[in-house]
Amino acid sequence: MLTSGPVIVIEVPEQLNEAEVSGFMQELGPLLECNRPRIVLDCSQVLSVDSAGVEMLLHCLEEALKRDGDLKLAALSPQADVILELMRVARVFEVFQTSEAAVRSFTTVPADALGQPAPWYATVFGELGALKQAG
Amino acid sequence: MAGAIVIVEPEAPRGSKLAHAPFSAGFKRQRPLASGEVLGRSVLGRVVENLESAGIDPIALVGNGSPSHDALDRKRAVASHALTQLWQEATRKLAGLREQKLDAILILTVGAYIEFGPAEMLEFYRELNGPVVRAHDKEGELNLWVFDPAKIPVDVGLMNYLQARKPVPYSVQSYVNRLQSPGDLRRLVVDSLSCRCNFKPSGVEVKPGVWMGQGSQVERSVRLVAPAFIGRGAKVAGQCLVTRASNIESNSQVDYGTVIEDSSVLSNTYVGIGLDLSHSIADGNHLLNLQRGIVLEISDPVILRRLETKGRVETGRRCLADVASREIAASSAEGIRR
Repeated sequence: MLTSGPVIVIEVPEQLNEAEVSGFMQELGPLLECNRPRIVLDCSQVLSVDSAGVEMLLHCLEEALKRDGDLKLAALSPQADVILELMRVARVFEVFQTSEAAVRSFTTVPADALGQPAPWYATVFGELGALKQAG
Repeated sequence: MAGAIVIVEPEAPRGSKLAHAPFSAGFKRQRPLASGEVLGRSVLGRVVENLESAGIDPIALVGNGSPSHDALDRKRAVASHALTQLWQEATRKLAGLREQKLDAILILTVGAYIEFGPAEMLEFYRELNGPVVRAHDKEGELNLWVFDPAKIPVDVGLMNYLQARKPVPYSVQSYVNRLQSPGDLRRLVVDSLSCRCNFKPSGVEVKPGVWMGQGSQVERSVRLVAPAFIGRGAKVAGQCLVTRASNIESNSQVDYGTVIEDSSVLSNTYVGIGLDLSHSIADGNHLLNLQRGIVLEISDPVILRRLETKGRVETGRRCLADVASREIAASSAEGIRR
């Protein structure tokens, strides 16, 4: 049976560049290796991100998805927001206004998943069944 | 006979919008707005050309280009002093012009871009027979005056003289852009490319609304959506999209697959592969996002960097050097077009 651990919130350092990436990965790497990792990266302190930083974020997302988990970004600073948009990766991540909202998103079921409409073919088969009965 | 003194503002005057803008500190002083290239030519160059075409001669230029801009960043107090120094320099230039028996001198500070007819303004001034005339537009006073050099006492500074007089207003009805913020710079580009003013792109219109400067290279797969401008010597790699009145100034490079939308890439700037540059101005490794009003200094040269060309001179300085060379009365029109 698959189980998942708690949602983990990690604060991203001010500078997410080549020099900082290895240190940050040492912290983040083990968390990604568990089953269904659920991670929120709090980017409120981020002042600059370079291509190595973006590469690392994408790698982490990939690792999380591989293990049926997810990695979400929260509280993007304007600087981080601009860089992620510039590098076309903003749309790859789910981004939330606050870390709390990001954490909640892991635990709540999306509203549209609750009340799914009946598939369109149901009525067709229903009608066919009625026809058979009539016949 | 009329002459002119053109003062290149080192930075926005105190109290202006730019002085308070959160992004001004990092961005504007990298390159004074008026002396950087916009659509292939500097505002300063265009102003001087306008004066020359009206037969104004001589034209004295005041400005230093300015090696002290870094110092301005460090000490704000020094900044206002720099403008005062420029006016003192203008007073010295005036002393030289007095000897040429001019009946009128136009003095303007190139902080703003003003479309005006120097001949019409001089005619207005001459009809009044003597008082100082100052240009206005619907938003207020402009730093453009006409005065009689013979009426200024030798020991009075030019700035003091102009401030002490109550000038007769001369209404400028045509296009004015005060260039107080980088946003104004973008507006000037958009207005120009949309033909809302006489600030014409410098280059050949290769198809309606798309201008290209000499020696620019655009790969076949690039989509240039009008209006757009590619400056001289600029290179745009394959699969790029340039749209929404974007301009890529001289000797810049936009690498493969990048989208430039509603943005300006200033001279000698490299923009990396596969980026989305929207609502921004890129100048070397500085990126100003106009929507968020923030400046980023990008340390990663793969994303954004200043291109060092051989024998490159900072555009602002080159422009000043060009104009200064014209100050020598008999200068040819070729110099400024260089």
